[in-house]
This record gives sequence, C-alpha cells and structure tokens, in this order.
Amino acid sequence: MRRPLVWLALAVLTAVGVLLLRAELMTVEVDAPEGSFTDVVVAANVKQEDDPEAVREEMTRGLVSTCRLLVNADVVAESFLTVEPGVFAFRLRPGLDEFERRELRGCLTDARVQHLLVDVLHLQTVTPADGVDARDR
Amino acid sequence: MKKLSWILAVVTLLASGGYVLVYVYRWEWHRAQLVGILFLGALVGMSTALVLRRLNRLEAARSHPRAGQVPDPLQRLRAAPVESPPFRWLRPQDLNRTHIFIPVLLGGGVLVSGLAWLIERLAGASARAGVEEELAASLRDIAFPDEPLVPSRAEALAGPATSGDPAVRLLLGPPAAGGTR
Repeated sequence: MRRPLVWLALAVLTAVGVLLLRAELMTVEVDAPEGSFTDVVVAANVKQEDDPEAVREEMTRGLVSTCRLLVNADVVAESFLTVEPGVFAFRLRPGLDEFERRELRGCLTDARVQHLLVDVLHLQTVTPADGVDARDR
Repeated sequence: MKKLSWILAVVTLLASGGYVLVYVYRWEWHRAQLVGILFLGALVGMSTALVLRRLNRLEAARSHPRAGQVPDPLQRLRAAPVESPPFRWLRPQDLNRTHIFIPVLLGGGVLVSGLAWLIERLAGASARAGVEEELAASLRDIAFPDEPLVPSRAEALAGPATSGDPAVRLLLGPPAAGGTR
C-alpha cells in the first residue's frame, strides 16, 4: 500500500515539474511596441590571473553580441558603457518581452565564455506607454 | 569508507539531477549540459556499482556457503524440481492454447482412421453379398438343364428320344425330332 503511494507521489511531482518547466521555457512571440527598448546592467567577473581588467570589457562585449542574436535585438550604438569597474550597461532595441528577457538573462549568466562570469543586475524593458521618451534615451 | 562513497554518489546524483532542472529553468543551457553529463556519469557509476555489488554477493554465497546451511537430503529432495504431471495439455486452463492442437489432431486422426476402416469393412461385406447374388442369378440362367443333353445308349436303342425343348431337339438331330434313321 505504501509503495504505490510513493510511486504516485513521484509521478505527480514529475508531472508538476514538467508543467512548470513547460510554462517557464515556452516562448511566445509578443510584438514589441514601437519605440520600446530594454536596459541591461551587468556585473562581469573574469577568473584569470593576468590583467583581467584589460579583457573584462572585451569579453563582456563578445558575450553581449552573442546573446543579443538569440533575442533578435540590436545593441544601440554607443550605448555600451562602463558604469564602474566591472559593471557595464547597454541598451537593446526593440524592447524585449517577458520570454525574451528570460532568455537573455539565461544567456548572459550562462557559462558561455571561459573564465567569464556575468551577473545581471538590472534588466528592464521600457515602452512609450510607460511615460518615458524612449527616443531621447 | 564504502558507505561514505555511496552517500557521496547519491548526493552527487540528486544534486546534479536537481541542478539540471534548475539550469534549464534559468535558460542556462551550457551549465545544464555540463551538469547533465555529471548526472549521467553518476548514474552510470552507481548502476554499475549496484550490479557489481550484487554479483559479488552471489559469488560469495556460491563459493562460501554459510555454516549450518547445508541442507539435509530430505530438504534437497523436496527442493528438487518435481516431475511435471503427464498430459499437462489436458488441463482445463490449457485447453484454449495452441499446443492442444497437435494432440487433438493426432487423436482425431486415429478416430477418423478407425471409422474409415469400419465403413470400408461394412461396405465391402455388403457389396460382396450383392455381387454374389447377382452372379448366382446370372449363372442360374445359363446353368445346364437337369436332363442330359443327349440320350443314353439304352435310350437311343429303345427308340427315338423325345425332348420337349426345341433347342435340344435341334441339337439331337432328326432322330430326336422323330424322323427315321
């Protein structure tokens, strides 16, 4: 009597897990409003012995170039800034919807580039409906 | 030490399996792949270790039977496989199986052969009786007459023989027909 209950509980857990994963991993195309953009702030850390400061920005730029292809967005020209040592900000157009933001966050924090660890500090999509003039940013 | 190894293996398996799901949930595919390889490695290693442990136990039980565990002859006899009962295919639960077909076919063949032999004998007996009766009737038609076909010497000397049968008279010639010699 006890064993079937254990198997039933495992089956229910598996089904719930699969449904949760499906809900989180599904990608739905949502049209971005005209003029929307997404601001991203990341903290990069290079696990390398010789002069990480010199390669940190370069490696972060490479990672951003790769990840923005996944979400089909462009980095706004001259928007890649060094906020402080090891912290970089950039802007993507058009703005990313919820599913694309998940994908971009996963791509940036993933171990794609050796010795580079990136943490996403800020990831927000701004639309004209939010009351912000996107073109001036 | 062995117990610690097992605990480490189980923890590794559970942790790597959990982190696969976590990394997939976070869209971190590279990390998920790396941890997935670790999960598979732990799984294969643990499965192999389980199989080897079982084999070792079996081997040890075969090579070193425990003291006092030697069964007496009666137990060994009772543990030996019993002879299978005859005609197992006639058990009610086996009647609808395919292997009942051949015995039934053989038995049916025997029965049908006996029936055919009986029919053949009956038919032969009845046919022989009819044929003999028909042959007897035909032979009766062409049987010799009761009277001799030619008169005896005494009858010839006594006088011309007479016969009621015209065919006999024709055969005997003029004397039989009543003519002079």
